[in-house]
Order: sequence, then structure tokens, then C-alpha cells
Amino acid sequence: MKVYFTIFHAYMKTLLQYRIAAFAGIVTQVFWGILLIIIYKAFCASSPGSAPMSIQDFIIYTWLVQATFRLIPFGIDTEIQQMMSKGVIGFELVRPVSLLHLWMARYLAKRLAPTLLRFFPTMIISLLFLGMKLPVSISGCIGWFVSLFLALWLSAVISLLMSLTLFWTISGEGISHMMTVLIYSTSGQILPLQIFPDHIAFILRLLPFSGMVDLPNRYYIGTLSLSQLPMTVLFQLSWIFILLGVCQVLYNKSTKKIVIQGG
Amino acid sequence: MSVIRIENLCKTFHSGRKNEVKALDHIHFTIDKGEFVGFIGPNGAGKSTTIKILTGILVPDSGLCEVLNLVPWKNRIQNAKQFGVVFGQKTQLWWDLPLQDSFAILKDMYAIPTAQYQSQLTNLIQLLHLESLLKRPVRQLSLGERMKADLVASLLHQPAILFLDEPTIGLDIPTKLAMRQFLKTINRQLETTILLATHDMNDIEELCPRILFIHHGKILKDSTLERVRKELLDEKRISFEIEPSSDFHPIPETTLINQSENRIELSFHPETIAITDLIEKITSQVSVDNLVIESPSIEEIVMKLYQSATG
Repeated sequence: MKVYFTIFHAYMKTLLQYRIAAFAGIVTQVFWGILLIIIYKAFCASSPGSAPMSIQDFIIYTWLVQATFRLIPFGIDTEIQQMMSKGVIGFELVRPVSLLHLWMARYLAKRLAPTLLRFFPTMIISLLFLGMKLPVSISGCIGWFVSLFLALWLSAVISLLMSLTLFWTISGEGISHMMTVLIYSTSGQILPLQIFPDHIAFILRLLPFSGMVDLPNRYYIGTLSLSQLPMTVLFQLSWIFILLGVCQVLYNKSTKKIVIQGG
Repeated sequence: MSVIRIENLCKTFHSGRKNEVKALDHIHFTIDKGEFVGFIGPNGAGKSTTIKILTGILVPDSGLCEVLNLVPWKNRIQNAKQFGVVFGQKTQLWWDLPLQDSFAILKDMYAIPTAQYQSQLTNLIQLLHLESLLKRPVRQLSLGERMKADLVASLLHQPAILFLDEPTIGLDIPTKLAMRQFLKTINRQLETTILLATHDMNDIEELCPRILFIHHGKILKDSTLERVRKELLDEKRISFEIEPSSDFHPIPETTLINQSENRIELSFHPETIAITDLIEKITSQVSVDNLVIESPSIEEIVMKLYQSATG
């Protein structure tokens, strides 16, 4: 067990070195956030009274999304992709550890470290200057934090699943582009799911992706209350375990067919 | 006691529907504890495939393979604790982390007790003179430094077996010599069984009493270097300089290999003609300078081995 923590720690240590990248990221995020808010305000102004979400909620939601931008997977992990194409993956297999757990620890760190670097500055900037508000209540804050913690795990499992497809596709370009669009549009990352028509939002909220963005954010805004937290946790945990199961099956299949070329 | 046992091992690679490559075709060998075995053969002969099967990365089609009584692909995780491996073209170290952090991760991966880890690390670091590199990120190491570090990494858990796949590729001569010295020490001191796949014949000559020659997925020779030399190219070479104008008549017991204006090279079998007699026969004809007697180089022997395998 300790080894997975060590791996997690090593990646955190590595990734927290990328501070300039984080700074550049924050600038982009802030710009993007302002743009979204201006567009939404314009929509609301053009048809008053029919807004599916209040402007204040939209602003908070938008800054939450920008602050936790790196929590959700953005395409297939390039490091593992390179391992696959260069065959270094062999080294991962000569270790006396489970590859799945090893990669899971890696992804938890890979999702968490850049998020931590960006979260606090983005929150502070948006709280001070850009109309961001603190959580509506303590209970909202608890709900947000718990579901965000599970969102991290969900995100890591989805990253793991995408990486495992590399055993078949090697380059992973296709999966990478497809999944990025899918995840971004259905998780609430681009627009809050509340803005979608009801029947579409209903379906999107059954998919695992909403558990990474939309669910935690609704606790922060206050559209979900603490009494609904057990259902949320159950929803997120179910998806985590289902997807882990799929990962296990894929992994068992892949290790039988793996071919590492060349010397 | 045999630490590696391979019987009738087969592995075929498929590419497309019709192309089949028999990477391993019923190979068979055993290696005993403490042996230092050279694994040679042309590119694509099956060396790396064998090592990948032994390390549990690849699953063979059929046959038996045991590493210290474990089947690698069935007990991948337990087996992984028994061996260390270095692939010359790849690194197992963490690119962005200082070297000592990479080692610390391996300590936890292999669950090495702290005291054992400390003494082994100190020992290895001293043997390879890596003290000054421990705090440097791996990406800043030179190829030679990185290879040495990779060797240390593969030995931290004191494996019974070490697999080396072209560990000296691209290294300069001092580094190669240091690596060879190190491997000799490890093999002798810790009785580590070593299987070395390489194209560097000097590695083989320096290190390996026994060689396995693999070609087209078949083991064609399992022998000592001396015996292979005797079988294939059991001759000596004599070469010397003569005055450009002087006339040299062939000596019946020898074969002329090379003749330039002032240098002559002959091959002979010491059984047919004694060296002293030969020199006498030469010096009675012409006055010679710069006379050299040598055995064919290991490269030539291996070339002959490759030719006899293909021909």
C-alpha cells in the first residue's frame, strides 16, 4: 500500500514544480471565464425572465469550473501514450506491483497537483474582483468538498480507462479527441447542466461525467442540500467501481496480447 | 541449482493476417546460479523476446519457462522481486526527479528493509562512483551516468538474477570498462546470475565464460567462448613488414591472407607448424620487422558463427 502513496507523492512533487505553466493556465482560465459570463449576461438581457439559471449562480459556477479546470481529464495522458509508443511500458510491467493501482496513484496525483496550483489563485482573484461568492452555507461547503473529493477519484478512473485503450490503439489520438469533447460537454465543464433542456440534463446527470463537475458545483451554489449528499456519494462511488471493473477487465485482456517491439 | 529453465519455448508474432514471425522456435536452455552468460545473435534473433518472456512482460505461445521455479507470466509480481533488468535503450528512472528520489521509490516498490537498502545503495554507489549525482534530476545526467544509475536501480533489491539487454550501447570506453568491472564484481561478490544480451563482443570476451547463440529463434550454440573459437576459427595469424623490394615465397603450411607492398599476413594452425619453425622459415627468406602473432578477433569468430548459421 505504501508504494502507491510513494508514487502519488513523487508525482505530486514533480508536478508542483510546474508553477509557470499554472500561472499561464490561470490567465487563460480567467479570460475564458469572463468571456462566458459576458455571453450569458447578454443572453439574459436579450430575453429577460426566461433565464434557466440566475446570473449570480452562473458566475459562481463559472469560477468554480475555472478553478478546478485541471481536475477533469483533458485527453489521454501523454506520458503513458509515449510509454506505449516507445515501449517503456515494459518497465512498468517488471515491477512487483499492480499496474492498475500504480497508474491509479499516478492519476490521482496528476489530477490533484495541477488543480491545487490553480485553485487558490483563481478563487482569490475571482472572489476579489470578478463577482465570485463563498459557499452559501457550511453544509453546502461540506457537500461540495465531499463530492469534489470523489470527483477526483472518478476523474482518475476515467483517465485510467482512457489510458488502457492505448493497449489497442497505441496512438490514442481518436479516443483522446472524442473523449475530451464528450467529457467537456456532458460534465458541466463548458455550460452548467442546468442550462440544458430538462430531458437532456436528466440523461447527462446519469452519466459518470456529471459527477466530476456538475454535482460538486451544485452543492457550492446551494441547488443541492446536504440531505441529498448520500445519493450523490452513492452515485459517484457506483461509477467509480463500475469503471474500475471495466479497467480490470481491459487490463486482464491487454496483458495477454501485449507485444513490445524491438530491443 | 538451475535458476532459469527453458524448454521448448515458442513465440510467434503476427502482423497482418498472413505474416508470421517465429521469434522463438522451440528454444531450450538452463542457467545455473552464479553463471555469467552472454546472449548473442543478430538483430531480430530473439534475444529481447526471450528476456521479455523471462521478465513476465510477454506471454509465450507454448513451452516451459521457469525463473527460480516461478512461471513469469503467471506469477508476474512475485517473479519481479527475483530479478533486476536493464534495457540499454530505455530508462527506469523518473525523468523529473532527483536520482535519490527514484531510488527511494524503488525501495518502496520492492519493499526493501531500510537497513538493507542503505547498505546496498552505499555499496553500489561507491563501486560506480555516483556519489555526486544523487541530488541531480535524471534528465540532467549524461548517457553514461544514466546507465550506471539504471544499473544501481536494477540491483537495489538484491535480485538473484540480472537481465541486461544491451547495457553498454552508446557508451564511451571508460564507462564501458567501469561497467564491466562493476558487473564482474557483482557476479563474484553477490553471486548474481547474469544474462547479458549484447552486440559488443568485447563485453562477451571480457565477461562471459558461456555464450548462447540464438538465430532465427533457435539456439544454435550453447558453449564456451574457447570451444567456439576452437571449432570455428582455430588458427593464428602472423603478420610482419618486409623490405618493399624483397621477394617472399609462400610457405606451404600457411595461407596467405593479405599482401601489400611491404606487409604480409599469413594464417596457420599451430598443430601443423610450430611458431618457432615458422618464424625461422620466414626470417631465412627475408628480413622482417614489426612481427605480430595473434588470434582472430572475437568479431571475426562471431561473424563466422553468423555466416555458418545463415549459410
